[in-house]
Amino acid sequence: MWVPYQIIGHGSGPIYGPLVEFEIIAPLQDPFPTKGLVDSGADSSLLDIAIADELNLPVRKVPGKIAQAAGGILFAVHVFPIQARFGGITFELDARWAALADDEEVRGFNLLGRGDFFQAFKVLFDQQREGIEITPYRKKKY
Amino acid sequence: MTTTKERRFAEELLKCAGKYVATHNDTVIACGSSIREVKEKAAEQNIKRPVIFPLPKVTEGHNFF
Repeated sequence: MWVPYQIIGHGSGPIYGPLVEFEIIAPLQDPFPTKGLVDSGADSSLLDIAIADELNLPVRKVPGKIAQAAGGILFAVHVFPIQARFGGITFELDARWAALADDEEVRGFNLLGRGDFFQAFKVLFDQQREGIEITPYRKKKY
Repeated sequence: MTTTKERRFAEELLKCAGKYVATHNDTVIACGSSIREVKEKAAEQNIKRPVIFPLPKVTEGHNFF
């Protein structure tokens, strides 16, 4: 599936990035459509804990761990795997959940990282065409 | 080529930087300080399945958190 980059901000000009739509699938809930940045620099996916709160997921009951963001900033995460769906394909997200907003504003995107999203999908960034080609891997047979 | 709809979507989206955003069919429905707030605003417009996501202010690219 070809996904064109979307606008994600504005500096000296518009800034485009690989922001894609996917769904979080929580038990006994309607799927939650959201968007996240496909981030080859992220070891694992990072989701906003506010979404977990909205879906009544017991993420906060999991003891927190310290994670490191780009630039060396340390922050607390809760590891709580969840199912997600992209392009009609359901896959496991070994998600890290953290507060991506504070009392003043939203500080971060949902991130789709290598440990789970990239395990389920082959991702080809095409910077010149400003888009990404995302193809599901075939399930391994054992 | 950027269409008028795409340009309008981009403009509306950038106004929501630093907030939660609800979109539907490439249209910005609402933005606010919480998921609940934008969900309620979308429901007022009879949008049943909005796409809701956190949108930080990005002015220098996404190489930071």
